[in-house]
Amino acid sequence: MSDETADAATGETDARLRAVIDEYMGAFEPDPEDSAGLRERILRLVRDDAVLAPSTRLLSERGNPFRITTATVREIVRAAVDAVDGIRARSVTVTPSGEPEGSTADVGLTVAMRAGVEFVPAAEEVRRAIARDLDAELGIPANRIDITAEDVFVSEDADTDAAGSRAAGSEEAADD
Amino acid sequence: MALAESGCFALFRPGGFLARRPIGISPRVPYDEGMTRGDSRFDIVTLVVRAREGDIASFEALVDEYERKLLRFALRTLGDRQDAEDVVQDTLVQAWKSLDALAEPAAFGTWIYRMASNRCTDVLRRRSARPADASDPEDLGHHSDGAASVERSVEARTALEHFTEILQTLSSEQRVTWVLHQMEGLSYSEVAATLGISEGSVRGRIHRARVAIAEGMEGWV
Amino acid sequence: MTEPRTSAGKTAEAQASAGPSTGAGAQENGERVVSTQLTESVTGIGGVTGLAPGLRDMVATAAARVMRRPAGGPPCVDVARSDDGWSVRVDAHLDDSRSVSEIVDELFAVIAVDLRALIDGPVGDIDIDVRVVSRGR
Repeated sequence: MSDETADAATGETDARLRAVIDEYMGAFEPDPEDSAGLRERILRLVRDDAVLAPSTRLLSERGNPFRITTATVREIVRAAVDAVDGIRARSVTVTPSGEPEGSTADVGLTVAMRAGVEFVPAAEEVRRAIARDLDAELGIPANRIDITAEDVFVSEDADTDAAGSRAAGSEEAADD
Repeated sequence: MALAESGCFALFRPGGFLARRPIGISPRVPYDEGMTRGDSRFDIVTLVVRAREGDIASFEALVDEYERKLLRFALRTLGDRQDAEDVVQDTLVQAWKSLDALAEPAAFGTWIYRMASNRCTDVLRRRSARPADASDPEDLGHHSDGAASVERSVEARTALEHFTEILQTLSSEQRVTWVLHQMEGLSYSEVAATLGISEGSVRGRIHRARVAIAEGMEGWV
Repeated sequence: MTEPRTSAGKTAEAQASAGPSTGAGAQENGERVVSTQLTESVTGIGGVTGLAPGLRDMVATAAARVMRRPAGGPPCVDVARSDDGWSVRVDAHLDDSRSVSEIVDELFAVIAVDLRALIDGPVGDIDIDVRVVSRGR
């Protein structure tokens, strides 16, 4: 029997099996409560792991050296960036700088921008926000802030582009 | 308040407005799509880039998106709640720890399903090595509401229970592949991308699974 | 050898009566007393919401798990006596009520003051290692 004929024959059986398969699938719908418990366990393990995360060495305003998990510093920068309309922070790099080292911070940042947002004024706003927040939240002045826009996103209102691509269904295979 | 003395801006827009779509990933599987809409929900690339730099909030969003789907997939493949939960927990925690290993953030969905599929295969292989521990068709009665086992007599077994037994006779690889295609609704090429195997291998496994199921269900449907 | 001044507090009395009064045991006892006091002071600082286990705690916890024993108590300020003085390690969770720098500076000040108050005689070099683990709302 050729592959095609075999597939055709078994395709028929699949059609008759559909009811059984659907019943089987229905038997395994996750309970929202169980699901919530699982989610909490996962996040707890993730938070425990995050305690071991790498640190950045900085100097306080009075020159006391301290370490801070790099993720925490990034979070301060990300919060400043996300607050700017149409901009989403992606990758954040914070490098201790200055003399002595750690008295200032160099920030590198990649962002995604909403389509239609003008880059230069937005980037300027982001730069101001980061400088302000690093000082207010961290207590460390920003020395240098480099911003690279690497992607564009479209908001839901103007999402005709996405609707078009879904209708095309470019990757659906028609071999069932 | 000290202000930053210097900085530079760079604008790099690969592909213009279409850059928001996953770049360089083919094929695009159903579970990669849902996150690119709306200003309030971050696109998957942003979430993954942030999560791999330690942003737990972004990782939480990824968990919210994928945990339920993965759990359903594992439940269907393994037929056991505890095993399925363990697979999903291990998969997502391992994902957090090894996000650096994901070269293409847009492929997170495919990547996470591959890890879950591999873990399911491992569970199934361990079971077949210990036949006494193989899941009982009666497990099918343990529905999410915790109801008691479906009543079962030797003569009047349902088609559903018989089907579950037939599934257990498939090889681990066949079973995982078949569930991905038949129940998760992935095309052959999408299954191939998920499992990291050739489309030909996918066809072969699904064909053999179908034959086994057709023969096994003879007279039951 | 400089010993911590015992305060009128219950903890110090319990420690003094529980442990040996000379040698290595006394040193450990001294460190425990200082650790307890510093933990109390540090967690009282505005903006500090809690302590995280330090490396020593995590190793101890892992070891305890292997030996199936319950791990030690809640995380505390890690205190050890060194050749030329004291070494203090704090792993802290903060909130966003104050800048990180402000809290760090207060941590340093409080630890220095407390050590001098607790120790009879010269304190020597105080090496303070502060690590900010997280910063919540």
